[in-house]
Order: sequence, then C-alpha cells, then structure tokens
Amino acid sequence: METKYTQGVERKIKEIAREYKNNGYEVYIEPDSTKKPGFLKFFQPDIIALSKKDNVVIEIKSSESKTDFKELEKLANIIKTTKHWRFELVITNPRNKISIKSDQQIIDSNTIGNRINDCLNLVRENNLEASFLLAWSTLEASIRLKLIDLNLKSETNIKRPVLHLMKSLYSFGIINQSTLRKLENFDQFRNKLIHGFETRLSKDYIYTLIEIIEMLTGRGDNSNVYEWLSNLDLEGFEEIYSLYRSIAEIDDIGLFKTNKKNDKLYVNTNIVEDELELKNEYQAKEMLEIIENDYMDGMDPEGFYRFHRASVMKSYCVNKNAQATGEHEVHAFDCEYLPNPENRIYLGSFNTCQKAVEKAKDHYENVDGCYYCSRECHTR
Amino acid sequence: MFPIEFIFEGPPVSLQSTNRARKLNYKAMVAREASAVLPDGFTPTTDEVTIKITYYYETQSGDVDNIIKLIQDALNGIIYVDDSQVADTRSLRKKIDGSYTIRNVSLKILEGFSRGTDFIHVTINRFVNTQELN
Repeated sequence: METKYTQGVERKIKEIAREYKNNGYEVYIEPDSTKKPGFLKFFQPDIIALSKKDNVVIEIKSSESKTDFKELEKLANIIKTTKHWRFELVITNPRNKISIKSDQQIIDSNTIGNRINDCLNLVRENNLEASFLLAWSTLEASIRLKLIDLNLKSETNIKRPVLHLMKSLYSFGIINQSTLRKLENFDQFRNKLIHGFETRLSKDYIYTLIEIIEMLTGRGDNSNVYEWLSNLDLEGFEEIYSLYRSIAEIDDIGLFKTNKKNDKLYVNTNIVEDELELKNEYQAKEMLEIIENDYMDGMDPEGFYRFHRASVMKSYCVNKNAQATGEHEVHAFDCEYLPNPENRIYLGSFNTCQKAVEKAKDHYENVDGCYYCSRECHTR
Repeated sequence: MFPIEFIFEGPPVSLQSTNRARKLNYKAMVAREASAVLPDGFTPTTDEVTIKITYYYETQSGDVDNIIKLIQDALNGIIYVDDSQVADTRSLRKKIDGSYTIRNVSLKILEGFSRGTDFIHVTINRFVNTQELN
C-alpha cells in the first residue's frame, strides 16, 4: 500500500508513538473515526495520544513533504478551544553536511575586476550559462571580502556557506531585503544549473547579478553615490524623505540642497563636507531608486513618510532636568538621548511630537522637542 | 492580555549593523507588527515582563548575535513603557529544515511556517518572580 509519508517521517512517527506509549499513553497512528473524538471529525492527525492527565494531537512534518500549514492552523485553533487537549508539532529533517576546506584563499579585488570583464565578454558572446557560473563564483568572493573588509567576519569564519553570509549581509545592514531575496533566487538558480536541470537564462538576469557584485566591491557607475550615502549615514525618516525630494525636485528641502548645472546635478548638505555630483538625470533617477530600495524598504516615498509619521504611536517623556537654556526637553522613547528613568516624566503615547509637547506643558511652562527625536518640535 | 505574541519576516537585523536608517526602519516594522496584534485601547504595561525571541530560519541563519536589543527597543511604548521593565530575555534559533518538537504550538508560529520564509516569533509575558536562580 502506498504511504503518504516519506521514510524519515514514517520513522519519526513510530519513534514518537513508542515514546508516548512508554509514558503510559494510549496511542493511535492515523486514527480512524472510531478512535477520533468528534471535534477531529474533519481532520486526519498523524498521531493521537490519550491519557487521564491530558490528550495530545501530534503532527509530524518535514521539508521533503508538502505541508499545508493553513490546515494545521485550523486544527490548532480547534484544539486550543478544547479542554484537556494540546497540539504538538514535530519537525523532522535529515542533517545536511556542508563543509569548505579551511586552507583555501579568497580571490583578491583585482581578480574580481578581471572576472567581471570576463563575465561581460561571455554575455556578449551569448555564452550565458558560463557567464552566470563565473559571475556566481565572483559574487561569493565579493560577499566574503566585503564582510572581512568591514571587520564583520574573520578569515576563519568567512568559510561559512554563502547562504549564511548573504543573511549576514542583510543583518549587518549592507543589503536590503529586496537584494537578499534576489541573491536567494540566484542561489536556487545556480543549484538547478549546476545539477543539470533545465534553466532559462537572460542577459538582464546576469547584469543584475553583476550590478550587485559591483555594489559590494565599490565598482560601477553608482559607486560614488553609495560612498556618499555611506558617509552621510542617514538616520531619521524626515532626513531620508528630504533627501529624496531634494533630488527629485532639484530644490532645497530640509537639510539638502540640489542644483543643476550643465546637465549635472549637485547635492549638498551640512551633514557631510563632500558634495555629491550626479552625472546626469539618469544617474539621479538611479539614486532615487537606491534611496527607495535601501532606505525606504521599497515603499513609495509619500507612503513611507506617512507611515513613519502617523501609523505607530510613540511614547514620550519630558526631562525633569532643564537644559542650560532653561527648557525641559521632550523625548520619544526610542531616542538615543533619552534621559535616565529617574529623570523622566511619562507623558503618554502620541503620533506627533506636537501633542507630546502640549502635554509636557502640564508639567513645565518652558518645554521644547529634542533636536534628534522630535526635530519638528525643536524651536531653540 | 498576556502572553502577547507576534511574528515578522526574517532575517533579523543586528545591533552591529552600521546602517542606521535600516535599523530605524526595522524597529518601525517590529513596532508595527507588535501593534497589529494588540486589542483596541491597549496601554503599555508598567509591570515587569519577559521576552522570548525565536528566529526560525531555512538552511542557514546568518549572523544573529545582538538581535535582542533592537527588538526590545522597538517595543518601548508599545507593549511596555520602558525596556528597563524587561526582567528576562531569551533568544533562540531554530532551523525550519531541522528536527525538533514544538509543544503547544501557537497559531502565530503556524502562520510563520505557512509564509515559507525565515521569520522571527516574539512572545512577551508578565514576569513571575519564582525566587529561583537557574
């Protein structure tokens, strides 16, 4: 008789059933309707285990089998509302052994540059599979070098599998989630390609991969943009939004001034000394895309601004201690300069600093918003 | 109202991240997901709480040291008034394609699995002082 279970899951079911039996439970594997209580009528659990103390529904799943988690949610919901019953989920998967020899050296930056040219030549010759595989290996080297360069990884633990390192790039803020998903996609494509499965490849797919390599290694047409943004170290959503609008409207917005001379755009701010030069409107458009993807998490700018302004209430407090100039500062609870707990008067939750400042006036006449967390309310 | 649980998409962002804007966006996202599970009229508690953070990941996890602080900060003024109220925090990693048992599996965890990508599950409970040191 064909079984719906993989070998691993079948083995696990028998192991768990044995465990519960040894603990005094009455155990039924794939129980029929005579053994199932009424509330499980529409479900087929893998195991039910019954005792005087409690009753358990146990589902065993693995990544090899297709799991309908929505069905499991329905099952969990019903069990939650049924007295003396609980739900246990067992995940079982074979161990994967992945290892990289510790004595191997990563290719250097010059070699990476040469390989990018080789990849582009292969694309021009329409040799797309070879180009992709070469680009992939170059990408792995770029990721490892980037993490070493930023002192986020040592030469020893840089030999971890590349999927681990890609997620590290995200966790350390070097790439955004959209780029991480692209890299995961490339990884899956690479596996299919090298294991002999049919694949369909386009030049644009490879160019996207090469762009990511260039971004990681400080090459490419937008390397000056990435460097300027990195020095700028944007923080608040108002700064991000102001920069975006300043470039989009070629105007002075907030802390940023953008002007145009002979097709080139120049962006200035007193946050950093260097002026950013954008070669033409096309590069300006690419910079706006970088800001949207890397700083707005892919949201449209107006939506990004509205979301951060209004959608989440923040708690505010006022500092019991006055500034040297006499005002008591109002701070949001996520402020870097939040006073120590003993110096705070809790004001409540508000969606704007203006409301918090109004409330602070119940305590002190002379109040002002903190420059860092409540800049709109900072008047001094 | 406790325990309060919510999930959000992984991987987590590390406190070590040098990108301040991304850290802020991440905290805003965590705060948004936490707010979404709270009932209308919920006010941040002034009691001591415990937090359990579990990162469910596929195949490889990435570097996940220092993931607690940003999540704790994000919940200031949402679940509790100040993160000095957090009496105990646990941070765990579980491989989605690994082997383990989840006892009393919650709907939120199942929702996380059904999304098919890495996710972080956060549970906040009132702190109970058992006067035992573990």
